[in-house]
Amino acid sequence: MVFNTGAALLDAIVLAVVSKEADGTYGYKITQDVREAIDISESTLYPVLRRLQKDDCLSVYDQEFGGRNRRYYKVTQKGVVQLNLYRAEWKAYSNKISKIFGGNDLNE
Amino acid sequence: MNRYEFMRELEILLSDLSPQERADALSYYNDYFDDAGQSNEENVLKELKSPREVSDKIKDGLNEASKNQGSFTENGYTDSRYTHPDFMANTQNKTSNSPYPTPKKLSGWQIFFIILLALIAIPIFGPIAFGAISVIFGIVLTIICIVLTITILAFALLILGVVVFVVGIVTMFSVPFAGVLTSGVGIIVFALGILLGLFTIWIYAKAVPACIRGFVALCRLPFKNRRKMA
Repeated sequence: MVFNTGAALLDAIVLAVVSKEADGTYGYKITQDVREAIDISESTLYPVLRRLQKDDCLSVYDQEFGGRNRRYYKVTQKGVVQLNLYRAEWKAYSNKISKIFGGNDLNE
Repeated sequence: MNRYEFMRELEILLSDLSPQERADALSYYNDYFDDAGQSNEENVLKELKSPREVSDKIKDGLNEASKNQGSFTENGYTDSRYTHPDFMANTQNKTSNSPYPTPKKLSGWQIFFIILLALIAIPIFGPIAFGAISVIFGIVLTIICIVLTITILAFALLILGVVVFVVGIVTMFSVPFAGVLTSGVGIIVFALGILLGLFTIWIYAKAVPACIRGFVALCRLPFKNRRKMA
């Protein structure tokens, strides 16, 4: 793979994945969902979740599942705002890149 | 290594974190193993590589300064520090307990030169420092004198007010008009004394403690920064 995924883009992907579940989702599932887009190692995600939680973009709660407590992550109001910002930024960025790439095609 | 050995080792490696932070991280990976299921345990262990790698990433994540180190590629997270030969050697060496390289110790020669430099600097910076301290001392002394003057003035005005008032009352028996005037002036002077007295009380109650606090904060400033950097 030639393109790098920066920390901000990873934050955005994680926020987007978590926001898809209205009732929140848990670590293992988040990892699997994020891996549909990028192949990150399993040990990378926890620090990202922890940071987003610290920045008040994610909130956590524990819920019983199969006789044990499972930690769920949910996007907060601030997280939604942040995600919308990322979405707008990504749209502008990817449009510009696509335009340049497409422009090259026209010249051929 | 199985799941339980992994978790035990991770717990030891995270022992320098706060109890809350450690418990959160451990419960996350415990959940992770539970949710991956027993059949996936082998895969998860292979993915996580080693407890040290996991604990290093947790600690890096807590350290805001390292936010911009490394990047995520489609092939996973790459951080030059982890692929560096030194780090790999460190990972294999299970006996070293600290995940971070110990701060560089200064060699004997370096310490010698630092002391030498300090000795050379004394004749240059000594007088400047002495001058600066003298100026500060002078300013502090001046402020103390001004405050004392105001205090004495307040007392003097109070006493003078009473004396002039009494003189005015006495004069009233011989020259009534002049007596009333004098006692009136006495009351005005007394009132000025009260005003100045209140100002003095304010200085002692509010301004002086504030100055002392400010001075203490100023002295602490260099140490505060050092603590933040550590």
